[in-house]
Amino acid sequence: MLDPLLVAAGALLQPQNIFLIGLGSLMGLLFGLLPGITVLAAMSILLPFTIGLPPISAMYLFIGIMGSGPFGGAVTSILFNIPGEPTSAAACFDGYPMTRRGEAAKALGLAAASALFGALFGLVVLIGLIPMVRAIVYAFGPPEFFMLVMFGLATVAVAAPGNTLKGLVTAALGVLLSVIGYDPITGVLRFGLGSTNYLWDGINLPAFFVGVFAVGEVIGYYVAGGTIAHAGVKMQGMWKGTLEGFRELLRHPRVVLQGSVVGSIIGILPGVGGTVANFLSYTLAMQTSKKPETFGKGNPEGVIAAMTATNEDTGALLPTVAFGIPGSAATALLLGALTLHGFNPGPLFIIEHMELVWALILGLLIANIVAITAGLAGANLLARLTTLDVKYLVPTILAISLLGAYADRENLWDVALAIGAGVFAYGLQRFGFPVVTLVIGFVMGRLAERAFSQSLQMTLDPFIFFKRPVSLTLFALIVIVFAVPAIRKVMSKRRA
Amino acid sequence: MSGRLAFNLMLLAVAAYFVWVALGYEPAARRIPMLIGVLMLVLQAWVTVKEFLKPEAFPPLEGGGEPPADEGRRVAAMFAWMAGFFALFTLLGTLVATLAFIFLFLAAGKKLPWWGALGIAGGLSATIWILFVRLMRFELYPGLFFGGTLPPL
Repeated sequence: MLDPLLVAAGALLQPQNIFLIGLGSLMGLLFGLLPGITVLAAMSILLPFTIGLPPISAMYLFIGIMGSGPFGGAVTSILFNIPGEPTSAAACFDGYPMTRRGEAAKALGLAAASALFGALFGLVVLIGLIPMVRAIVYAFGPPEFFMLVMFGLATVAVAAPGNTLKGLVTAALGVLLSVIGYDPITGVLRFGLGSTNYLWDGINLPAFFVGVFAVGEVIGYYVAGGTIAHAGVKMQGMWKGTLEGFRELLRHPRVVLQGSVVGSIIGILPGVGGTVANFLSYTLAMQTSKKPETFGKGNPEGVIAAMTATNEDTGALLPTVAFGIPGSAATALLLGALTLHGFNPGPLFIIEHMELVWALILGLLIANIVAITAGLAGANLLARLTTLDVKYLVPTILAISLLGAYADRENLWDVALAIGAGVFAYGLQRFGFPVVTLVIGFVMGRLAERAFSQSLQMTLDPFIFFKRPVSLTLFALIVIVFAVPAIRKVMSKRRA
Repeated sequence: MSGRLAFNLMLLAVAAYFVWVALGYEPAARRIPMLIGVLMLVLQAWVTVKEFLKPEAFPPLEGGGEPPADEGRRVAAMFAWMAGFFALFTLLGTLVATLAFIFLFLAAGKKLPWWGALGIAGGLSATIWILFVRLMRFELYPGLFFGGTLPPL
């Protein structure tokens, strides 16, 4: 156990590897900052260049990108309500209201501390669970996953800021939008609107996110005018605020632990991804909070929940190295890099190349530290932009965001999609429909449908969801989620 | 017809569209869209009737401010700017569109001195070129006038 760790640590001290991990972390941070352009693009660009590198150096480069992307995404989420990465989109909901109150530094510090804690927790889980990963993966089959997604949707609809009824409408709409395109089970093209190509793969997620968050927000800036941080609100000092953010983390140990666990577990489940982990953690925090109505209004717990769950990439390393099954798109690229270097990840890989596993673990830790240090230093500059007149920000953010929507697939129609989604999201928000449930429904809808169909294919028994202990427990939790607010309401009426 | 009613009816129509079209698919493909579509239809009908009988006050703008009296006109103006940007993007390509859009927005829309607007627009376009083209090796859209083609819809 110790020898491979020493090999990995020794390699980490070599100047070439220090440079590579630094380069990877800065690239991850930069790609994370740009809306619509994900760290996957950075990894894809660098993949061919790693062939000449020693495998351990290539791993340090890749893991640097992977580890730093989520914090980069959180910076723009918190400062401008525009997620740089889909995996940190939920940080918008409470991080941005904190910025508007003049607490940008605190929100960024909180996000940094949460991401760091989540990563550390994920690494401990990774090290501890390597021998048990098989049992965890098997415990979560399609029925359990379907119930898990339903649980997430139920919690967010009930606790959505504003109106539960409208929250359910937009959650349903999100699910409906997510099923557009080819059905992966039956192969039927659904709701194609006459498209002969563009909608075959469904609505493009990065372009949709750019529209809902960035374009919708820019319309809001244009209409309201002024500055992002409220006029008259004094901006916190960056370092003082950051320290306050770090301290705030210690006041919410339950949310910290909860988010870290959610991120780690979702990461282990193949094919689910960080975006789901991010939103699921947020919804769970909202549901278990004593003050769910303060979510979406700058509750620090919302930022903690969103950011601790960004450790899903750490969890996703588990099935990648243990079975050769990537837990996320980023780990799929990592798997590609390992294969390019002649390795076959699987049970034997852990035994024979443990030094590479340790390199990934150490690399993730260092990448998080580099990203947070560089990110916080750079965010100081970015935070000042929130005091600028929005007339300068509107065209700039719009141009960069729409370019991001285009760059993901280099498809012109994604720009039009982002504009349409932005106008629609602005309308939803102005007429009191929560956008958060639309986004969560959209992210989880297709996964839920796939899990539902796979469950029925397993046994043809529609009651399969109630016959397996984990899915039955999740169903019971859904019932509780709907019952508790109703009971609370009845009780308060009786008291009155 | 008020904007709120129109928006509610549009959501109702969207739900009805999904249910109606789903009816034409084979059972396995329509199960979830039908179920969720009917659910949305019922809930949105409830919202529409409720708000028609007892309209709620408009929520404040994000961040707490009151919406300006000419909100509709401002939204329409912003939409026109975005449509213009998309048209420039399609015809002249990413870089020229970015330069022209930011310059026009600041100089004509926000009355910034032309040299200031040109400086901001030029600076951002140059940054995009360095970042996307030189460093990240993205292929920016060249525009229909410069050899670009429309991707299939």
